Amino acid sequence: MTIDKEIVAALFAGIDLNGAHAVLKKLGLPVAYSDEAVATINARANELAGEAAALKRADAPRAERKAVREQVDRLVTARAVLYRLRPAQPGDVIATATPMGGK
Amino acid sequence: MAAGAWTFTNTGRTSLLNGTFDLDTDIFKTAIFLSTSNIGAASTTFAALTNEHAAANGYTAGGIAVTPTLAGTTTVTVDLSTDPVWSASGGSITGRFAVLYEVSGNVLAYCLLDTTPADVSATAGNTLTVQTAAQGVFTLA
Repeated sequence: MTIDKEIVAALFAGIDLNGAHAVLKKLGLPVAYSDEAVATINARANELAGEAAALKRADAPRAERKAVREQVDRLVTARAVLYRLRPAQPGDVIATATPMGGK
Repeated sequence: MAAGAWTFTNTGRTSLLNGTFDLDTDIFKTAIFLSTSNIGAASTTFAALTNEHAAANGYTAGGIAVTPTLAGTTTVTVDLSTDPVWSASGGSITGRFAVLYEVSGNVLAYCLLDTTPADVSATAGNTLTVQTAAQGVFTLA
């Protein structure tokens, strides 16, 4: 399923569209929500998290660790993009956590 | 649904100040815990927490990656780039707490998902989102 950029743009409001679109394509993901696509993203992010933790334990340079983190950032953005493409449904739960000490 | 405020663990507060946490470089995750969990202000490492949501129904052990962001100058706001979302499939995802922690490290903060306090539950086919308020997770001014 392909969704026009304009439609995606309307859905995103605030997320950099070109970046998000590029991420999905680079990952070989369809520009549409599926549980499998999200699971793929989460699995890759978990792998990178393991790599990042190992780099930190090894006292790797910050730039090296930051490069891994940036890959995770892109995956997290891609996941958010996919969720934006999933229509909200009755029964979805949103728990809004207030800031530290806030009400 | 009104979740509670994010609460630092004692170790999380110290970890911020002694440089153990590097918020814009380290990898963080958010995980869901049950009402029977030992999560609290005295919690230290993620590994020491008990009663995480079972790895089932669309939930993976350890939760999912999130990326803290820093914004501002005289007041720096720590936020998450996107909110963590779980899709329940094959059964419900039910939890009492959300926990924000560094992978292979310490817990930074946690919150009740419902201040009653009560469990929240997303049934199969629905999503559970832990949404950060517009003001972020915390600020330093």
